[in-house]
Amino acid sequence: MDKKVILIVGPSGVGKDTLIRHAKEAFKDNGDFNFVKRYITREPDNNERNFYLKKSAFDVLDENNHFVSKWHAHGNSYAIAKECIASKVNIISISRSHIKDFEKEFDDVTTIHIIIPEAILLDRLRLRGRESEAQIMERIKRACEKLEGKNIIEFDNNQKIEKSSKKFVKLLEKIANA
Amino acid sequence: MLKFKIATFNIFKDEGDFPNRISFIPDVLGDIDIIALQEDFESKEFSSSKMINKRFECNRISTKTRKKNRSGVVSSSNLTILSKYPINLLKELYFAKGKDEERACQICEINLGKKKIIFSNTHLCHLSSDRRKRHIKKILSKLKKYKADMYLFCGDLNATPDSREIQKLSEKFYSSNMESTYEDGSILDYIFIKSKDKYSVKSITLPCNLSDHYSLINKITLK
Repeated sequence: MDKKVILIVGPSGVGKDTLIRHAKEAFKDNGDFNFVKRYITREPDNNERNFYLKKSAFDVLDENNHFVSKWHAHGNSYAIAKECIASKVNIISISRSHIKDFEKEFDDVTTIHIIIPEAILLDRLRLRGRESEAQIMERIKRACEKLEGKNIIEFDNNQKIEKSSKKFVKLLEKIANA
Repeated sequence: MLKFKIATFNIFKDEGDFPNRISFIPDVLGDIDIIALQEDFESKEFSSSKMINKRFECNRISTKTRKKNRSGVVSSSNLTILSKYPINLLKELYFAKGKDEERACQICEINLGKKKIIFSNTHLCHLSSDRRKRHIKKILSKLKKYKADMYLFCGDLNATPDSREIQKLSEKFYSSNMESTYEDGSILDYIFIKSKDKYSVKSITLPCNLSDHYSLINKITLK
């Protein structure tokens, strides 16, 4: 199989991680799907299978040209390594501003933009209580900006999680088989 | 003052996305002076270390070990040292040679300018602590026979820092790494250093998807 890349983007609070978790479960016995691990410079999170590393190690790998894309968020560095993209359908959760990194490197790239109505996103971010009102408003503003990319599909996640997850899995299957 | 970078990396035989993943290893390691590889797959058709060395163009010394049929192909899981500096094989040690549990160690002399380094590379068995202890003892007694400015004892020792064998080795040699070198979070790979001369060392491990082990890199300054 050729390398197929499906990028998952969307603002924090939109439900990306939940959808991906359900998709992982749905495809756990399907060897065609590769849920790509990220390199993250923070303490290991036992709920997520990523490469957790020191900033110095991250910088060495970066200098060695190991990453296809890297970004910084909330005081941490994140990256995707070239070697993690297998000859399969690769599902990757990334920052919305780095779609072009993948489009430059790979021929078959589809971006799924997860969206929910602005008012619901605002409620969710406020409910989480992690950020100030100003930071939340900044996020909302960024969420409304137009995405730059060649092949973007919008996915409305404003439904019950069971229904939404099934729809998401079907969308992934459809892209995989296209 | 002499500065050099060494790495030890168990490269996982023919497992995983083999041989595609092997081509990414030089990218991960970057600019290294001496590399100790374990589980370096070699068959009639393919050698992992030869592929890696296409990029590095180093001197290469390989010790064939653990020859058997893997996925229908007769191959060995070698120990290999790649060195930018002149290297000379002094001794190949074998433990339980010809048996399923065969293990080996390669001892080399590497000349870095005016400094002479005795460099050993091994992959110890995972089966028994006593056996690893015996093998370490034998390796150390061989190393003693050679005079050098620095001794480096590298490899996948299949033992964690709290094990008796690593504790014993730590009485004579220094290992600076505190980061995990294996996918389950444990430390199994080491670069142990001994020198009468003053030296400093910076250690780093590079997690990656290329093996079940992570590469361990030491940047050494020998005064």
